Amino acid sequence: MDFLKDFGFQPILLFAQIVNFLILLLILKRFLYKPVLAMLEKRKQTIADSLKQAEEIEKRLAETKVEQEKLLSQASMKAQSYIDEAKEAAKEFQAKSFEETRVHMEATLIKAKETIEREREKMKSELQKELVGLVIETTSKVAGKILTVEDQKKLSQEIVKEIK
Amino acid sequence: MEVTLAAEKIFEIGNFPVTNTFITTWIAALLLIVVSFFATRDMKKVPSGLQNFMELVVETLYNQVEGLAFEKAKVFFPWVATFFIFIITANYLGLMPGFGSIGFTEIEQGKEVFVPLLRTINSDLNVTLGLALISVIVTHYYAIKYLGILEYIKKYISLNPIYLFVGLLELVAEFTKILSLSFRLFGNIFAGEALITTISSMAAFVVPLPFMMLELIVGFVQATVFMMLTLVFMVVLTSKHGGEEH
Repeated sequence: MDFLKDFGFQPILLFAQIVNFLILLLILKRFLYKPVLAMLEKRKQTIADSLKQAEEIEKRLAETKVEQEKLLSQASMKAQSYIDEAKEAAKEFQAKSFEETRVHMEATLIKAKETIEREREKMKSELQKELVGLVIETTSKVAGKILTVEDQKKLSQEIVKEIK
Repeated sequence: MEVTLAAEKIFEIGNFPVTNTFITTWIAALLLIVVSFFATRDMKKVPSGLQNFMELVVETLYNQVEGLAFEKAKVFFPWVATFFIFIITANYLGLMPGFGSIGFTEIEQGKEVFVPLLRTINSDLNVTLGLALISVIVTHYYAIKYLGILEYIKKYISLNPIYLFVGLLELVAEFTKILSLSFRLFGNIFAGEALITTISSMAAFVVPLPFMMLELIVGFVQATVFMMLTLVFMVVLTSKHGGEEH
């Protein structure tokens, strides 16, 4: 090992250099490798997260679009059904009201006819009465005497027969 | 001007000789600590400036480690990355003006010797040998941790005579690793330092520039080689013996 002496080999210097290197290693580990690697990892994570997020947003956007389209078609379908329903209801209402009017009118007509008939009947009977009275009066005047109840009855019956 | 193989002693604290490379080591370490501190002091999600640069360095190294070590990357990374960052900082710091040129003369054995105040760190075998020892010891520590002591011993000792011989060779290889790792780094950087010093003493202006460019490449390559070898040794030694599993 003599040749090592020529190179300036000294155990204490060798040991000192080893210690130097180990101290440097510990310091670099603490102040360089650890923070830098942590930062690199963090940045990687951030990029991955951002990409994932972007992907998710895109997916959600596509989903929203599909949903939107679905909603739109649903709405238009619903609207169409409403319109149809309304149309039908209108038609039904129209038919119903027409029928109702017809029935009402018929009823009114019948009632009117009845009223007229009744009126006529009433008038007829009144007329009859009056006529009978008149005839009796005239007859009594002509005959110059007051008719008995029996005669009156007989006469009125005769008149009524006559009128009819 | 001449570059000596051994780092020169500047002063002494008690029994401890403070060499010029030792001073430079502290400067490099301090520089790295300050830079790291400022880079991570106020970290932002959108990085800029120093934070951005240090993130680039750490991420590149981490990807390199992860590509080879997979799930063990988190454990190996601090060692491997610190080897690279420390070695490349040391190598480039050594190319700064003032290294090897500012100093004082000393009378040694009757001769006047120039002693530079600063000297590039990896041109000192104590440093590179220290790095290599850490690399190999840590590698074996993780091998035992991941394989268990029995499986670890089985790598070197086997009842099968052929595997016994292979295991012996591997045991020798482990020791050669220490030498090859330390002397490769030391040799390259020392040679570069000597080359630039020599060229500079011949022609101080412009001429050394191409060599300095070369040294920039060498500095990067040596840091990478040391890092990659350590990483590969760690990965290989912590995985089970391939042939015995089938």
